[in-house]
Amino acid sequence: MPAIGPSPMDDAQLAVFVQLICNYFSASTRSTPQLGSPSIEFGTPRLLDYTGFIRFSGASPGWIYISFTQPMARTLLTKLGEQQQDSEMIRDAVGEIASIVTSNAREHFGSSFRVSLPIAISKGEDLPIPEGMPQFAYDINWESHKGILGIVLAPEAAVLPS
Amino acid sequence: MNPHLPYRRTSACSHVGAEPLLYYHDWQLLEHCDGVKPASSVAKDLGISEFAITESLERLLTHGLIKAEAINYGDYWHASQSHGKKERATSANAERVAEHKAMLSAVELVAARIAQLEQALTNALGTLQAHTPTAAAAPAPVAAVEVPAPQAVAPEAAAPATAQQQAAPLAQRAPSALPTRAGVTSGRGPSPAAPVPPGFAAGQPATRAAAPAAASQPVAPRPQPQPAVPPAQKQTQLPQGQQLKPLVDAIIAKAGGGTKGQLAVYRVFLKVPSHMLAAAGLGKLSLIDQTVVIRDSELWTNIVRAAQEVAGLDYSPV
Repeated sequence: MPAIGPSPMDDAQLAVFVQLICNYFSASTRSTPQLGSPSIEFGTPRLLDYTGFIRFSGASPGWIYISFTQPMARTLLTKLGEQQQDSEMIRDAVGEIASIVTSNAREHFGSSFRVSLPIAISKGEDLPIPEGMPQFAYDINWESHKGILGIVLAPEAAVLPS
Repeated sequence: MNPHLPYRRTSACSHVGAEPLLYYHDWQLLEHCDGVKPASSVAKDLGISEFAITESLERLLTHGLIKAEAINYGDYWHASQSHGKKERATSANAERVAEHKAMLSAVELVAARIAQLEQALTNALGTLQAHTPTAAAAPAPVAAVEVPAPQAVAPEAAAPATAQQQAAPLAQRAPSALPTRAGVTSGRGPSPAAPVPPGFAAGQPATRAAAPAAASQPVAPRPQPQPAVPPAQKQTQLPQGQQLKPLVDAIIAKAGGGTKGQLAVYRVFLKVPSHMLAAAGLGKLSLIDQTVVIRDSELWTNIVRAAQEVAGLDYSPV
């Protein structure tokens, strides 16, 4: 999975990235999501029915993911004006949402922002991230649905970027 | 990683030389991973505790020495037939296992008796302190019960701090803190002559089993009745436990607070060995309202060290 550009992702940028995801929901659906308290989760990532992964690299390589329940994804599609809502369509839409968020991030950070093409998976499919990595996860409350926004950093990221 | 699945040795087994260093029972388990029998069942036969087997599997998986195995019925039938023969051959060792278990029980009884005596001693000390306030700060009785010397504290805080320090190490040696890992491992003693697993050159298992046992101390050749608790084990349990929240808050503050600080905590935990977190039952750590208490001193040391390395935080609990 080739990465783009040379600049690393530090914690301030990660925080901005999280905010960009929230902004996407607010702007495209006119309904602002609420982030729950963050937690560190150990073991296999807690994923819902559909998940979009965005891989970034640099000094702190890792992944950001957004996970949706099927009802949440359907509501989102309805809000976006999409009538076709079969599972394949939902999966594509989740990938598309991750793509838009990535584009917004590149717009914000500049073209040197190192990020790969997003990957969308359905529940039960192989994860694009290594097993056993701790996750930094927020619960998302949106339109009475619950989703998950997570960050997974590679082990070599266990150093605060200067 | 699921201990109820069967695991098979991978081709990596034939490439390992003197490395990696594993515990004695890790090698035992590896030797018996035939891809048919669930690991939990193998562990039971070997007398390895459920706790130890989980850690063993994780270490073997980490080194790529085993993988979970799914087989068809034909393979199962053939493997189970040969496995049956092997089981019959090893049944002669059951008596020896029973002997080791009996020895373990004896050691635990001695440990329990020592714990009772220590409790009585603690009570006596408490009574003594209540009647003679100056005795609390005296170093002599502290040394007699192997309590660490009191830290430098303000005079007004000296008495309660000393009392706490005296109670702590004694509680570490209570029977509940004794048990399984080092005790069971050392109690098992050397394994009976076992068949050489496929993929190993002749004579290698014994060499491999001996090397990690010598390098790391949890495996002793034979249990001796005198030492109720091995010295290393005295430090594995924090009697009162350490609240994680003050440390987490300190890391967050040190890293600038907010999401940045929370991500710093996350980076700290990236450096803590996952098997230790799993052993402590730590599945999720809330960064706002967590109330986790760490009781494993090794885990606590690792977290504090990681906080120092990642966030430059020199943490000493109040």
